[in-house]
Amino acid sequence: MSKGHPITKINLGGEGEVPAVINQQRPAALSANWGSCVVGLTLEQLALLGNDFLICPNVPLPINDDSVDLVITNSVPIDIVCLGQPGVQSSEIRRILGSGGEWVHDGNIRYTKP
Amino acid sequence: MTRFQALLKPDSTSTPKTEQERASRQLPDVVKGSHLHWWTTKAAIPTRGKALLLVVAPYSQYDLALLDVVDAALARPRAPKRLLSVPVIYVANLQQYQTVEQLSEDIPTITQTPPQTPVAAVWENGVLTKSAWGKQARDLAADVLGLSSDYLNEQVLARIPKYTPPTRLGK
Repeated sequence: MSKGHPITKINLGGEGEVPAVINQQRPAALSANWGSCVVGLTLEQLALLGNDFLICPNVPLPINDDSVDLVITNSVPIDIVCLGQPGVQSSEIRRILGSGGEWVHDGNIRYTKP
Repeated sequence: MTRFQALLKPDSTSTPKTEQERASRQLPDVVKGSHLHWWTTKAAIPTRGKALLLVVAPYSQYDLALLDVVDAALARPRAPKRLLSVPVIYVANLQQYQTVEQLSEDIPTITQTPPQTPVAAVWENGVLTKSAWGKQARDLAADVLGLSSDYLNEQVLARIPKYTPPTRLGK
């Protein structure tokens, strides 16, 4: 669903709640019974509203090293496994961030890559 | 009242991982200090009246905000004749379930990994009648509490930390 432009800002586990960023979701988001936590919309509905998605597993992220300016995570598990599914990995966040890039978790800047 | 969301509050030395571990560890004690009940076993479900189980993810601001809103709703004074209709609200930690099969033991209608949290289930007179996850679970909680789902969702979403990307990062 990405329009093919470079990923410079990404919301891992995103559901379109942050404007103008790519929203990464696990493949489970493609299932018919998936609905966004925020407003309950389907992935298709969110895409039709103009949100871009990258569908991929949390580990590993198919994103180049040192290539992203901003990583956002909201209300997603960090470095833990939940019901057998790996959460977002902070090592992956550190890998994909470029120098000076920031990780914002639950609204606060938590890491700036040297 | 933000006792549940406070579980995820960062401090000077914490990381998102340690905050989430702390929230998971301390959730039972915070539940016990609230108007909610910590889930132990299905055997505790009352055979009369309504009971709601909220299986929450301690790493989710949405789920913890929901608990704060539900706790505040239960704290409001009620007319004596309405006291008997107050539902019993149980809380469980999703991270205590290792597999979806374990979750199914408590909520038999949940047979696949829920793609969103919280997971909610309603028992009426001891019989499981409804279950849902994600936003629909919040709607179910609103219904059990006699609140409008729009009101409850607005209350939850208003409590979620917001972040707007700075324009200097725009490309």
